[in-house]
Parts: sequence; structure tokens; C-alpha cells
Amino acid sequence: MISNKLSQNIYSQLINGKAINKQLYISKTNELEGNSLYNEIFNNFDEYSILYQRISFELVHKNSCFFYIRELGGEDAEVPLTTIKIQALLIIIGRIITEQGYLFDVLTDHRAGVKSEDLAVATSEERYLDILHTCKLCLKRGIEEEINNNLVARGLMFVNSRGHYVLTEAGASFYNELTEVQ
Amino acid sequence: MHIALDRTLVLLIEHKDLMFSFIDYMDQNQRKDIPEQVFTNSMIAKLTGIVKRNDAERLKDAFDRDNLIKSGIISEFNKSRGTIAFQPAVIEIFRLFDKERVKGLRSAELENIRVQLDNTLQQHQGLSFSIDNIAFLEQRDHLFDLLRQVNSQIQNNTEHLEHEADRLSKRLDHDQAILTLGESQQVREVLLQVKQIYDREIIPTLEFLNTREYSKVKAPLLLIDEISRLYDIRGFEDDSYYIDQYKLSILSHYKAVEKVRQTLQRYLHQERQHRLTYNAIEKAYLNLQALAKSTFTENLKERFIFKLLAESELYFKGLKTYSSAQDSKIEWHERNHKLYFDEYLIEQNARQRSESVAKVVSFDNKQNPDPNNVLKRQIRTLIEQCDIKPPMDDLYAEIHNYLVDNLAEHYQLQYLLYGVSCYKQRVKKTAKLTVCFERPQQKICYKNKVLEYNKRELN
Repeated sequence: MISNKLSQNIYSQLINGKAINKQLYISKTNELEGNSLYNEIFNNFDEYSILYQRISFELVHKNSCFFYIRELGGEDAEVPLTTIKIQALLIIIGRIITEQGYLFDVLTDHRAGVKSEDLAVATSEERYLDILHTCKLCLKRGIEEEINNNLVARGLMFVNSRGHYVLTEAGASFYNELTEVQ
Repeated sequence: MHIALDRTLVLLIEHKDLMFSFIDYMDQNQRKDIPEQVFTNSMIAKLTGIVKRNDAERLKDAFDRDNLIKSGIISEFNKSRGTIAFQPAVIEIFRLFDKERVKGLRSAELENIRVQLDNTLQQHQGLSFSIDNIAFLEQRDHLFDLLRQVNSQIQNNTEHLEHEADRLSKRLDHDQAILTLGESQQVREVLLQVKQIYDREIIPTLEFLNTREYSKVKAPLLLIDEISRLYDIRGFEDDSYYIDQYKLSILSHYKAVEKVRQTLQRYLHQERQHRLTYNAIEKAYLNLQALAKSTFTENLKERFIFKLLAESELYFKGLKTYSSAQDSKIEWHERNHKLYFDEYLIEQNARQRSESVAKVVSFDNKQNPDPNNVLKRQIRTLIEQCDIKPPMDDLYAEIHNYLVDNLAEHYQLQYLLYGVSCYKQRVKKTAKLTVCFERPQQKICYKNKVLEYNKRELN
């Protein structure tokens, strides 16, 4: 049975392009907890799927760890600017971390994470800046603002109690897929 | 002043840290000697750290370069290159004092042992086995020396590998989480060390000790087997027995090394995972970089990657774009919201023609004040002057009738709410208002509009 309260909250997040992750970070305890919104969709997936289908969206369940909605019949529409921005940002963040010999786990451990200063190299080095500009990123804003707007606001990253950026399950699953494709 | 080898060695052993620092320098730089400068600096640092004057004097004499050369602890001093090499046997003794500094056997060293065993076999094959044959006796002595040496080397190697596995596991399995980039860098370095030990020491050792695997070159233990057989055939059963014992002793290390391999397997998997992630990110990055470069034109406005990046490659393909206009604002209450229903104004037949006769109107350039404001003022004045007094059964109906009478054609049903509100203000201190929830609700129809409301009684 769909809960009115939760479904309203779910709608509010999904319609604004936010992924709903299996786990939710609680800054007070600095721990991850099960996400009631994810459980609500998971338990009533068929009903939610039909509900969103009726308003021309596809409810996508990826890697068994997060949900998001994609517009049905949107293939022929304009260039998917948002998704390109997200992908470019994730690739560049991953590259900055691995290139400097750091362990990738820092990005996925909710107690660790990276400071925005650690990622400042993205805007100070031309090789990264070229790509970011081509993807319409960091033209007027700094990397921190771009991460907040494109990754944090969409549930792909969160800021932990230390003020560090950490990948959510949705963000981390992008890298998992990259590795699996390899 | 010359100090004898034994006394110098005793002093060196008492101050092991000095030799350990030389060994570490050689291992870190993969050298067999140390620069003279390093030797001198370490010596000065050591001597200045000693408080007792007598001790310092004694050590100064013992650790003097010329004394060390004379006593044979330094085997080579190259003046032109400025390097100092220690007697390998002395270095080996100090390595034995600390398991961490025991050197493992690498591919080249293991291959060297195999070649030596192969040569020994060939030498034996061409010999006549007799106790009168001096060449045979020499070869036999050499064989047993070699077997003893191999056995000891393999034993040291196993201990070294066990110690390394233990050390690396402790560093990787610490309870504390990796919280900073610096810590993560250290862990990554340790993982690389695991990989290095695995590839360069564990696998070659296991191959060395493997008697089953077929290979173009004969396995060392098979060579020992053949030598043993030779002794057995030629009537030297006792020697053959001892050779077999050596072989078994060497082979017994297989299980221990295999255990070390299994211990490190987990970290190796972790290291492999990191390498795969690294490679995948690198590949994706290079692809992105190539796309960005290929979009380069003189016109910066056209420099966008969009059309080149195939949609199928996008992981979050079709992700809904953010829309602030689509925030959901409806609030759902668990209680029956119908009870809190106030008024609904329903437009009836909106397209119905106006009943009034069409009038010709003229426009002027003067801006008219908002007619609603004028009307509201009029309603407020009317309500203030009215003589409607409590008690009354239905406040809405009373006010409606009053306004219809006084406002005539200007009156519309929506003004009733304003009128009621003004009246409530007027009597709020003197009268008591009660809402009656009845089904169906009360209705007032006026000029194509219907107002549904809950009756208000005034007492």
C-alpha cells in the first residue's frame, strides 16, 4: 500500500532529478541508515512504476541501490546536458583521486571523503579545465558550486559531518559500471 | 689504533642500529655498497649520541674506516667512486638479527640456485663414483655444501615471507578507517608492496618448490632427485638418503609459502580492484579528453561535447532535469480534511451569456482606480452601518441578502466572504460564532456562481 506522505516526498525528489539511494547519510551520527523512501518504492515498485509511467516517466532501479526517473520518449529531445555534466564531473573527480595515488575508497567511505580544496586542481589545470568548459561546467562557477549543483543536489554525492564530499551509492555505482565494462 | 675483528664485531653487534641503517640504505637504493658520505655522517651521528666519553672514544677507534678495512669488515673501499662495501657475510649476520631485514629470494637468485644444481648434476654424471676419486669427493662435498646452503636460504626466505605477510596484514587490517588522503596513499603503497612481494618472491619460490609442474627446464627439486638417484645406483645409499632428506626439508617450506600466498590473496584482490578502477577511470578520462579536443574550433561558442558523447554511454541516461516549478506543495493530513472545509466558490456555466443588456461604453485615457478596492471600501462602510444583530441562524445568508439589497448589480458572490469577514471583525467582542458541520453543506446561488459553506450561527 502506497503511503501518501512518502509518495509525495518521493515525487518531490524524483521530479527534480534526484536519485533516491538505498542508504541515507545522517550527519548527526555520522552514519548511514536505511532510506525509508527507497524502501517505500522497493516494496511498491509495480504501483510506483505504473504511477510514473502514466505521467510519462520511467522509474529506473539501477545496480539494486538507487532509483531515478527518466522521461519516456525523451530520446529525440534536446542534448542531455545534465547527464553529460554529471558524467564529466564524476570522471574528473575520480581521475584526480586515482592519478595522485590515493585510494579510491576515500571517495566512498562516508567517514572519509574529499575536501573541495583537494579537487581544486580541476580548475587550476588546463587539461581538466578544457574538458569542464567544453561540458559547460566551471564557466562562471567554481568546482565546489558545480559539485553542489550537479552531484549533491541530485543525490550522487553528499557532504559529511567533516564537510567532505562523499559518493552516494548512486555516484559510486557509476564507477562500478565503468570497471565492469572494462 | 687497531682493534681486533672479534672485538670490533662485538661492538658493532652492541650498536646494531648503525649497521641496520647501512643495510636499510642499501635495500632502499638497491645497492650493494654505500657512499662514503653516508658512512661518515652515520658514524658522526652515532658518536655524538653517546654520552660517556670513554665509550665514545672506544667506538670511534673501532668504527674508524681504516680499522674496519684492516679487520675485514669493510671488504671494498673505492676511493675514486667514494663507495664502501661491507663483507657480505657480516651483512648477512646482521640481517639475521632482524627478520624484517632478511632478504627474500627473488627470481634471479632462485634461478642461480637451479643452475648450480644443474651444473652439479652434470658434473656428477661425468664422474666415477669412488672414494678413491678425489674429484668425486670434492664434488660430493660441494654438493652437500650447496644443499645445506639452499636449505638455509629457503628457510630464511620462508621466515622472511611470513614476517612480511604478517607486517603487511597488520598495516592493512588496522581498525581505524582510512579518513584522509594521506592515509589512503600509505595504504595504496602497502598494497603495491604486497603485489611486488607476491609477483617477485612468492610465485618464484612456489615455482622453485614445485615438483609437479612441467617446464622446459628441470625443476630444482627434480635435479636433486636425479642426483640422489645417481648416488643410489652407484652404491652410495647413505648419501642418497641424506640428499633425499635435504630435498624433503626444502620441500617442507612449500606449505608455509602457500599459506603466505593465501594470506596475501585477499589484499591482492583489493589491489587488483584498485588497479581496475584506476584503469577504467583513466580510459574514460582519455575518451572524454579526446572528445573535448575533437570539438575544438576557433569559435569558442561551438565548443561543446554534447553531440559527440553517445547517449548510450551516459550512465544516468534520461535523468530528469531539475525543475523548481515542479515542487509538490499539496499537504496531506491524516485527519479528515473535509471537516476543515471552509468555502468553495463554484463557477457555474461560465460561458453563459450575461443576462444584462449590452451597453455602449467609452474609453478615456484616465487611469481608473481598481474597482475592487472601491467596492471593498463600500462593503466595509455598509457593514459598519448595518443593523444586523445577533442572534442569527445563518450569518452568510443574512449578509448575502443585505449586500444584494444595497450593492445591487455591483455585487458578486465572492464579495460575500469579504463582507462576512468585516462583520466578524465588528462583532468579535460581543458575539459568539459557531460553525455547524452539516451534510450537505449550505448553498447560495447567485449570478452563475454557487458558494458552498458551513453554516455559522451567531449568538
